[in-house]
Amino acid sequence: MSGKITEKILLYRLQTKQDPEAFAELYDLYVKRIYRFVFFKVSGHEEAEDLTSEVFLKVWNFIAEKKEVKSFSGLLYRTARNSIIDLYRSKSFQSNPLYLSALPEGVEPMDQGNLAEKIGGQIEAQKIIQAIKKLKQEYQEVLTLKYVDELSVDEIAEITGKGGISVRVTIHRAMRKLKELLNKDI
Amino acid sequence: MSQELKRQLKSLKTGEVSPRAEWLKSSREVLLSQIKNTVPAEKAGALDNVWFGLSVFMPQKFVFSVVRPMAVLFIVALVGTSGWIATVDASYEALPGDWLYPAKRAMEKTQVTAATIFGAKNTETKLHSEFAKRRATEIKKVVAGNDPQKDTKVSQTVSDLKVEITSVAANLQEIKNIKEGGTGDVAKEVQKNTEQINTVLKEVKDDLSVGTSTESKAISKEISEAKDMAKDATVQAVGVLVTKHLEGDVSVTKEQVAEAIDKTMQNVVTEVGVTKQNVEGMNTVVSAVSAEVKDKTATTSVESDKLIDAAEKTKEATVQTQAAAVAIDKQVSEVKSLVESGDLEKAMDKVKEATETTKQVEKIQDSTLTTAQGVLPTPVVAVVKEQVTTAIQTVSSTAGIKVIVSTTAQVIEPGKLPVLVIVTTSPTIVVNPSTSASSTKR
Repeated sequence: MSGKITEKILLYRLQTKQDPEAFAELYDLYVKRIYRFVFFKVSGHEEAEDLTSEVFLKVWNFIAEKKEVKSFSGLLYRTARNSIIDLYRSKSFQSNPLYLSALPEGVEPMDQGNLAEKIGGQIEAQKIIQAIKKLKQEYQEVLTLKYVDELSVDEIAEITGKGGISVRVTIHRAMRKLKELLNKDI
Repeated sequence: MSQELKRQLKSLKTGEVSPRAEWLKSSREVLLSQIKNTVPAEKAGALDNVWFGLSVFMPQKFVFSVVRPMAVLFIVALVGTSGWIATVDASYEALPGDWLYPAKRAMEKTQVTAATIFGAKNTETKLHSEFAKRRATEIKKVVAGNDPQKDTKVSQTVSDLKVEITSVAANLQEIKNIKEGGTGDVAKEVQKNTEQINTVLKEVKDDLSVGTSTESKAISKEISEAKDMAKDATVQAVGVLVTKHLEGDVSVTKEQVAEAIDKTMQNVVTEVGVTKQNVEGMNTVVSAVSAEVKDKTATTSVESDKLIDAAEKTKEATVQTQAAAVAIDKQVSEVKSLVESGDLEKAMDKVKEATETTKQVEKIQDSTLTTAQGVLPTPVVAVVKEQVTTAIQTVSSTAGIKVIVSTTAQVIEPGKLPVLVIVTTSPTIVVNPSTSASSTKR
C-alpha cells in the first residue's frame, strides 16, 4: 500500500514538475519487474535490456506530453507489451523465440547449477523458464506478475486491464498449463 | 507440486531472470541524461501543473471538467461574498502577467455582473471607481518594475483603466438622474478615488518623463489621456453632489458640496502651481544653456538653432503657465464667492473651466519637456526634474536659484548639446564652470 502511495507521489512530482529525479526513483522501483516481464518474451538478456530501456524512455515521453496517467505501473506494463509487439513485428518473429537455445550470453552454466542447488528440486530453473516461454503471452504475464513479482490480484488486474475474477481464472489456468508442460518434459 | 512450483517461480526473481547490476546502473545513467535533455525550458503555469498533478489521484476528465470549474467558482464565491483575507490579498496584489491576475479580473467582473443583475447602480459605480484605482496602482507598479514586456502590459492596463473610468462616467450620469438613496456617498467615493488615480498617474508620468524612448513617450501620452478622463470624472462626481443637493437630497448637505468643490479647486491650484514650477525650471535651464553656448564654436549652427528655438518655446510656455496660474487664482476666488452666495451651478461651471485649464497647462508642460529633451542630454533633463523644481520650491522663485552650465561635458548624445548643469539655491557660492563638470551630479 505504501508502495502505491509512493508511486502516486512520485508520479505527481513527475507530472507537475517533470522532475527527472522522480522518474529515476520510479525507474528504481520498476526496472527489475519490467525487465522480467520483457525477458520471458524475447530471445535473451541483451534484447530484454534494450527493450526495458526503450520502455522507460517511451513512458517518459508519454508523461512529458501531459497525457493522462492513472497508474504508472499500468502505463509501464502497457508500454512494455506494445514494445514487445512492435519488436515481433519488426523482426517478423516467425520462429519461436522461446527455446532455451535462444538464450545466448548472460545465462551462464554456473547460474544453472546454483539455482538447481538452491531449489533443491528435480526441476531446474532453466526448465521452468523454458516452460514459461512456451506458455501463451497472457499466461506468461499473469504467472510472472503473481509468483515472480508477487503482486496482488488487484494490481495484476490494473496492469492487464482485466477484472479480478478474470485474473484469478487466468492464473489458475496458466498454473495448470505450466504444470502440464513441466510434467511433459520430465 | 503446486507449492513447490510457486516457490521455484519465486526464486527466479533473484536468479535467472534478474537484470545485470552493471546494466541497471549504466541504463539508469543513460536514461537520466536522455530525459534531462528533453525537459522543456519553459514549463506550464503553476496552476496548470496543479490540475495535471491532481489527475494522478483522480481521472483527468473529472479534474478538468468538474474540479477545476468548482475551484474557480469556490474562490470567486469566497472572495465575492466574504472577502477572505488571504485570498483577497493574494489576488489583490496580482499584477498584469501574474497567474492570479486573470482570477483578480474575473472576480471583479463577477462583482460588477452581480451588481448589474440586482440593478444596484450605486454599487456598480463604486466598484468601477475602485477597479479604476486598482488599474492605476498596477500601472505604477509595472512601470516601476523591470519587466521586459513592461510597455505592452502598461499599455493594456492603461486601456483597461480608460474603460473603467468610462464606466464610472456612464454610471455617474445614470445615478444623477435616478432617485435613490446613498447616491451622495457614491459620488463622494468616486471623487476620492478619481483624485487618487490622478495623483498616482502623475507619479507614473514623472517616472516616465526621464525616458526618451518612443514607447515611453507613447505610454506617457496614453497616461495623460487617462489622467484627463479621471479629472473629468472627479468634476462629474462633484456635479452629481451639486445636483443631488439641489434636488433636496438631505444626505448631501451644502457644507459637503462646498467642501467637495473647494477640494477640487485646491487640487487644481496645486497642480497648476507644480506645472508652472516645472516649466519655469525648464525655461531657466534652457535659457542658461542657451546663454552659455551662444557664441561657442563647439556647437554647430543646427544645434544652435535648435537651442534658440527651444529657449523661445520654453519662454513662451512659462508665460502661458504663469498666465494660467493667475487665471486659476482668480477662478478660485470666484468659485468661493459663488458657493457662498449659493449659486452652486455657476460654481460648478467655473470648476469645469478650471479643470480644463489644468489639462491645457499639463499639455504645455509635456510639450516643453519634449522640446527640452530634444536639445539637452538626458542627465540635464533629469537635473531639471530633480533639482530645479526642488530649488524653486525652497526659494519660491526662479530668481533665487543659480544654474551653472558646463560645456566641457564628456558625454555627448547624438544631436544634443554637450552640457552639464549644476543647480544651487545660494547664488553667492561661485563655482568654476570648467571644474564643476567633473563633480556634477548627472
